Amino acid sequence: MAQNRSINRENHEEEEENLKGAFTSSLIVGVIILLIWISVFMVYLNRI
Amino acid sequence: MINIPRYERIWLTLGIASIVIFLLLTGFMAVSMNLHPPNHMETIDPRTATTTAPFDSPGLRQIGPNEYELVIVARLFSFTPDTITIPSGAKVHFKVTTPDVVHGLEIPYTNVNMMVVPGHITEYTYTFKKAGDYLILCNEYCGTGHHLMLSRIVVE
Repeated sequence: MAQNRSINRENHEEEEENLKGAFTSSLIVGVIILLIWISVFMVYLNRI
Repeated sequence: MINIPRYERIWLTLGIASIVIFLLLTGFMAVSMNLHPPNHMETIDPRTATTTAPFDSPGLRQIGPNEYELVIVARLFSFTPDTITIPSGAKVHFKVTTPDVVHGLEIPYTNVNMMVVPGHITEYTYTFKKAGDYLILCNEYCGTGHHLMLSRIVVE
């Protein structure tokens, strides 16, 4: 049982580790969306 | 409780938070800065639109100090009136309708961009701060003469 649990924990940690790339790329996509949103919003505000 | 990995929790939180911020900002702009998209609430019978006031005599009408109501009829393939002269700094309340098909009314390089739908009166308010020639054009494909459908506003 104890062994099983430690294996599970290892698997879990490995999964967390594997999500680092996904996390970074989703942040990059998020920053791109934010920059586009801000630039369109600035165009709108400049034209009021 | 579902076990969500830590990183996933962070990006979900950021994503949901940004949607909430965008929506709050739109609401803030509507309430505090009075910024709204064009209004289509008022309706009109398109068959009698051009004989119903104020669309029976389209044009510019002064309604206050440097504040005007601009009544425009959009039809295949022109805007009435053709050329409009407006004093600089004037606040203009657009009131637009059409007796035929869906048109657009856009003034490039400004926030004036309306959809003109038969049966509805489209309203939008814009202040012309800079003097110059402004183009009014139709940006909804309305037929073979669509590209000829334009008009002019002169701000002086």
